[in-house]
Amino acid sequence: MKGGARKRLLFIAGFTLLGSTQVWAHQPVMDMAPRWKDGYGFQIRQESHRSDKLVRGESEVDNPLGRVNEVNTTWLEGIYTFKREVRLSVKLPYVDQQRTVIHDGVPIRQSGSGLGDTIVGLLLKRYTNEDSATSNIAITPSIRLPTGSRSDDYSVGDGSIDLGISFSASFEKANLYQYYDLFYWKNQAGDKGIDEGDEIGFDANIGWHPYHDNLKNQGVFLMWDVSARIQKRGRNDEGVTGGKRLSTGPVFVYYRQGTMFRAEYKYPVYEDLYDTQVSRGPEFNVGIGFAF
Amino acid sequence: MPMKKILYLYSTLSLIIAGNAYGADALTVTVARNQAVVQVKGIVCSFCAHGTEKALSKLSFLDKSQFGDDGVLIDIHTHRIILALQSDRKLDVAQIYRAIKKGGYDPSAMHVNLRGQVRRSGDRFLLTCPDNGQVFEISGNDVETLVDKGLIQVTGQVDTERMSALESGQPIPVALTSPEIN
Repeated sequence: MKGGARKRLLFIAGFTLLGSTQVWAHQPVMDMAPRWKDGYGFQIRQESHRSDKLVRGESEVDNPLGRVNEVNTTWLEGIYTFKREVRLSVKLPYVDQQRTVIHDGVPIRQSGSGLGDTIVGLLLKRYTNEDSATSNIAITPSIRLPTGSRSDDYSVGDGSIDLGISFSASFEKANLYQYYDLFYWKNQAGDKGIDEGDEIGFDANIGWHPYHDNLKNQGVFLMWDVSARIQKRGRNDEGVTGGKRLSTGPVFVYYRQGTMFRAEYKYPVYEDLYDTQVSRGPEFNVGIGFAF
Repeated sequence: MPMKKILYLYSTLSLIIAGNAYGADALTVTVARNQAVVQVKGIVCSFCAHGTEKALSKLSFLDKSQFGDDGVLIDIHTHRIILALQSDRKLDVAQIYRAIKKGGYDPSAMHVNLRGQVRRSGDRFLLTCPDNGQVFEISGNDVETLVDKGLIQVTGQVDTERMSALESGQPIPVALTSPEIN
C-alpha cells in the first residue's frame, strides 16, 4: 500500500474512532493548516456558555423563577487536505446541557447529554502567495446530520438535516492575521416540534503575531474575534428561538511545530431576541489541535 | 451603539497591527557554506508551513544535525527557508522545489554557496565541487576570470523557473552574485 493510501485509511479510521471536525471562523488556526497535500489534523475543543439573564427584545427582564441555560460541548474536529485547494472536514460534538424552564408557573430542571449533530464540510479554496503575504478565499458547502440524541428532555439533536454555505477570506503576513467568514444555515424542521429558523452569521478575526521562534517553530498569536448572528424566528422543544446577537472577545493561541493550543472568551455585547429567551451568555473556548 | 463601538475598536486595532508589518523583503541574502537559502512566496506562518518543513526534512542530502533535528529552518520574517546541506551529498533542486510546492508554497529564488573549480566547456562555464562531484553551470559578468583559478568560493542564484525540470546529474544553472577567489 502506498503512503498516501495508508494515510487516507488512517484518517478514516481516526474518524471512526475519534470523530472529527469542521472548522468555522472561530477556528482560524485550523484554517491555516494543514494546507499541504495529504495533510490531516484534528483538534479537541471545549465550548461552554451559561446564562441566567432573561432578555425580551433588546432589554433584560426580571427572572424571578430562575430560568437558566447552560451548554457544554466537546468538539472532536478533523480535517483532511486532498490538495491545497480541497479539504474535507468533520465536526462531531458531545453535548452536556442543562436548563431550567417554567411550566405552569413552576420551574423545572431539564438536561440532556450525548452525541450531537455532526457537521461535514467541503472547503474549496483558492490561494494567492505573494512575496511577503499569503491569502485565500474559500467557499464551503456543509451539511449538518441528525446524529444527535432526541431522547432527553433537553434534546442535544434536532432530528433535521440542515444545509450550510460559507464564504471566507483570510489574509496573512508574518505578524498579522485576518480572517472573515460569512455563512448561512438553512435549518429544516426536525423532531419534537423543533424548527429552528435559518441563520446568517459573520465572523471576523484579526490577530497579531508578536512572538515567533524560527528554530523551535513556536510562537503566539493574540487575536480579537467579532461574531454576529441573525437567526429567523423559530422554535426548539421548549419555546421560541431566534434574534440578533453580537459577541466579541480575545483569543490566545500558542503553537509549537504542528501543535496548536487555543483559548477564547466571547462576551455578548448586543442581543435582540424574539419574545423572551435566556441570553446565550459569555462563552469560553479552549482547545488543542494537531496537524500532520 | 455597542455595535459602533465594536466596529471602531476593530478597525483601530486593524490599523495598528497593519502598521507593524515587517518589511523584510529587501534584506540581503547571506548564504553560509553548506547551506542553500530558498526565497518562498507566502511563507509567513511556520504553523502553516509545518507540512513544508516535514516534506523538506525527508530529503536525503540535508544535514539533519543542523537547525534542530531536520536540517530545515523556516524564517517567516524574511520569507526564506534555509537548508543545511551535507557537503558530500549532491544537491537535488528539483526535489526541493517539489517539496515546497507540495507544502502549499511557491519558491521564487534559491541561493547557494559553492566551492569548487571552474573550467570552460565550449561556451559554458562549469564549476565542479570536489567534495561530492556535483557540477554547476555558472554565469555572470566576470565568470571567465574564475577559470583555472583553483578552488574558489562563490554565491549565486539558481534559476527557479528551471528548478522543477532539472534532472538528477544535470548541471544546475547558477547566476553568480558574489564571486570570491580564495
